[in-house]
Amino acid sequence: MQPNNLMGFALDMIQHNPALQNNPNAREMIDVIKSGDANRGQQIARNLCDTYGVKPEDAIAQAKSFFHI
Amino acid sequence: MQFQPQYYMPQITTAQPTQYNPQFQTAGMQQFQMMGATPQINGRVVQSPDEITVREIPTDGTLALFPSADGTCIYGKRWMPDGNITTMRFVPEVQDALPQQPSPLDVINDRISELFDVVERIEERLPYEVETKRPATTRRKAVKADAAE
Repeated sequence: MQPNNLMGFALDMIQHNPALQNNPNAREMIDVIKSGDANRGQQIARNLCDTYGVKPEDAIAQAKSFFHI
Repeated sequence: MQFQPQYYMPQITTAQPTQYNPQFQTAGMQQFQMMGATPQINGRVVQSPDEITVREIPTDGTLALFPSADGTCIYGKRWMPDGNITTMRFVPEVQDALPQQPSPLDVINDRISELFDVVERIEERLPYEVETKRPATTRRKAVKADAAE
């Protein structure tokens, strides 16, 4: 799967998830993804990793595994 | 702590990308609406804030409350849109001690003392000696004892 297609697929899946549609925090994060603000997205991702106590590298590896990349 | 990438997609934890279909969304929506019909406070009693885990805090940004077991405070935690969790600490407001109100008996005693003072001042101004069977202090005590009864 091409990166753009994957991005669109993931975004579509996230946006159409009913739990996230009613989640203000998720909506804001989705808006960041849609805006293409990479720095802001990276900062949020790092904050999430810090909060969960996981290394960014491990999070990326698990995300790749989830999407079968 | 094990990181789970499906954190932002709690309704599709078991779904593989190739299995994604609209029917799943409909079921998830119904479930969400049912959950939304019964509002509740998230949280639990904790011994210390350290035992609060990330997964106990709602991801939608609503506040989770964790009263401390000793009753000294309540910890409030919520997810922020930037991926961080903020913590608030609510401490009971200490009420100032109310000034002690005098008892009815105290009021009566004070009033009796005032009256005796007046009587003694009058007696001092009299041109003759007032003969009493008991001294003034004894009389006061006797009257106050009667009032107390």
